[in-house]
Amino acid sequence: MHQNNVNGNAAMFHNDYLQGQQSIHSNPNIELTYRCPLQCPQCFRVLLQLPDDDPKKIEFKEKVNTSYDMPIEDLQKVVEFTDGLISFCGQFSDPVYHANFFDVLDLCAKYPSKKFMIHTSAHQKNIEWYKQAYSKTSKNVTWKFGLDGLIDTSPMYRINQNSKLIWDAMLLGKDLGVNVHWQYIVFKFNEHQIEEARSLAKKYNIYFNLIYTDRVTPKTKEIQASDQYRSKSNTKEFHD
Amino acid sequence: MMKLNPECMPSNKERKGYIRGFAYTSQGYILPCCWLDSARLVEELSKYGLFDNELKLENNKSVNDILSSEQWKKFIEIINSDPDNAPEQCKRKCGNVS
Repeated sequence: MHQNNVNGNAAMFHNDYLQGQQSIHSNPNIELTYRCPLQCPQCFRVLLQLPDDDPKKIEFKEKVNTSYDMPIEDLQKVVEFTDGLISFCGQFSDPVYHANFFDVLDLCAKYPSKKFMIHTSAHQKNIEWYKQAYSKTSKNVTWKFGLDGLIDTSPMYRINQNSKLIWDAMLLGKDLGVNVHWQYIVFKFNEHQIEEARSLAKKYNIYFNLIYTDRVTPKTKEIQASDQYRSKSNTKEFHD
Repeated sequence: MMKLNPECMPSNKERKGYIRGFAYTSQGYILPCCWLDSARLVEELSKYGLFDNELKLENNKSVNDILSSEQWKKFIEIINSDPDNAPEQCKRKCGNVS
């Protein structure tokens, strides 16, 4: 009897889990690739700068070396499974660096009832690349750009970012009718630009997403936001 | 006493308004969420079978096949009924300990 109850509960939990993960309330997170040219100080990629014999570097390097671009047929399996918002949000990579990223966009277009979000901070080659990408972007896809500050400050955290190209790409997207969001993580160096950024977002009709983070590492302690812009537990988001 | 409120379960919808979705990793595996997608957690998660080669997405016809595997059924049972034996990261992120 007791064993039956245990098994019954396990089956119930599992059914609940499956239904939840398939529902619109779930938001699967997809690491499309393993590439990124940025060196954001809180990203796992900074582990690659450790000495070669550091265990953290060895285990992360092993992960990178065994990583690959997500096969399009595997992405299709994910799309067919869930009705939730599918986020292309890398743990240590930028989705636009998938070797066949335009094929990813083509697949998204084939499923107009599904929703997708591209989280990107790393610039691609040039504005022409974005023009081509937007021509393949369907209405069910949102581009969320990580620009933490204005053009002059964002690369202080997004190291190596061509922030001018990111900004131009955001404006081009809006011009072309693409869904564009601006994600702005608050750091000490960009606190003074929040209101200007908010005004710019309003002017260009870009959805503005301010982020208070609780993440800090020894490398980023100096740039962490002051108390009023910092989350004490888990990340907090504010939308305009 | 250890208590978990896993964000990946539907009950999180009532608590926080969303269900934390599964994660697809750059090595081709599905994990319960992106908080578990870290090189330093591979060894611990391997004990639950989540990195068994047969569970790679490319080795399955559907995501459902993976989430319905014995390894996953057992994992879901643990985070719901046996939180003391859940991965440390689950306890940190969804538990009552920091």
